[in-house]
Amino acid sequence: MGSNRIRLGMGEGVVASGPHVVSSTGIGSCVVVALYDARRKAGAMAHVMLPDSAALRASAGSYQCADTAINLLLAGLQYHGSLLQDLVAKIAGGARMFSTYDVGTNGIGSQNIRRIKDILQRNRIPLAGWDIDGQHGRSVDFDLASGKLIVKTLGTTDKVF
Amino acid sequence: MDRADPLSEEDLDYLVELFNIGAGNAATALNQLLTCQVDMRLPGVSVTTASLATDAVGDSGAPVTCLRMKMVGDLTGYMFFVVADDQNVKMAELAERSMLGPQGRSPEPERVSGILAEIGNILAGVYLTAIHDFCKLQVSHSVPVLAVDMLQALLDEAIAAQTEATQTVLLVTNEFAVDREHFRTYLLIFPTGDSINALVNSIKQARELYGFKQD
Repeated sequence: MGSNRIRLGMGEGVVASGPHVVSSTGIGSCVVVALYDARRKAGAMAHVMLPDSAALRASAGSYQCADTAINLLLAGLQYHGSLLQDLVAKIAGGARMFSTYDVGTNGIGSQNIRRIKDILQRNRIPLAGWDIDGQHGRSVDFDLASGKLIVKTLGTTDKVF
Repeated sequence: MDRADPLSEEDLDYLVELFNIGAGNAATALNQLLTCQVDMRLPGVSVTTASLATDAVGDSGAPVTCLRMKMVGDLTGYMFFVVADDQNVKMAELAERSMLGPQGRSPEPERVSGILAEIGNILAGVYLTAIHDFCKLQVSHSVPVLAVDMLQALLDEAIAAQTEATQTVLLVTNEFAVDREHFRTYLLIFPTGDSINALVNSIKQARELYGFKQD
């Protein structure tokens, strides 16, 4: 039973345990949220596109929006036996890919980050690491055996946390 | 705006026809910019989804040079002019050589961006002109902004903006050759909000009125 690479596209999420690596690539203004339970070596990850499902009628129960995504991740982990107090979060993304003058810190990337931090805080889940903002795309690998998030950006060294 | 019926075969033919004319104008414009003979193939045009368009452009993890322009007017949304990273320097060298004569060294990186922005500007402009002339829609585009990165990372904001209303992306593939050097560029058109309906409805109306009669 070897380890498995699970690939997440935009707006997708997964809950898993075991020696797997969950990967997602091409992350610009989107944010990848990873939750880890070190006790059970279980994790959940979502590739979030938008901050708020209230603005989208059809996305209830989907990983596309920060609020519904985090609900799904938490529900999934708890269903399989994780306790809320054992969970930590790691996030990556929320970049501003094109420099324009009309957006400042209110681009969709920043909105996603703010919303996700807010929701994690309300659920009392500590943020154990992050690689956010900036102007470059990212790819991430979430290693469920160790709980580490490896973040790659074109032209720089990988960040691991 | 009423939800438009999906594009029929004939509607699609009309769209392809108007983009073909746009391509002809693009070839002329590029001839002038590059001051040399540009041989342009008929463009490939497809009405598709963001993920299929991204796959068509190539490896989603590889870097591309991308210009983003906003569309304003009767069509709203984004247009992206995309060149695979191994081609951008070749294209800029070509433009540089044609403008200044043989140089013997590659253009500075800032020059490359500027030249690609000009080419992207021209290509976007001729297709919007074709849409205007054949669909009677008034659309203009913003000054292009350039970035080099993974294609999906560059598109994800536009994809997210489309989530609710429509998933449609128009993909125009332009292949052209200059001095036996071959280039392939892509224009991805992401209409947002109701404007996809405006485009579809105006194509249908225009085809009724002006349609290319071929039996």
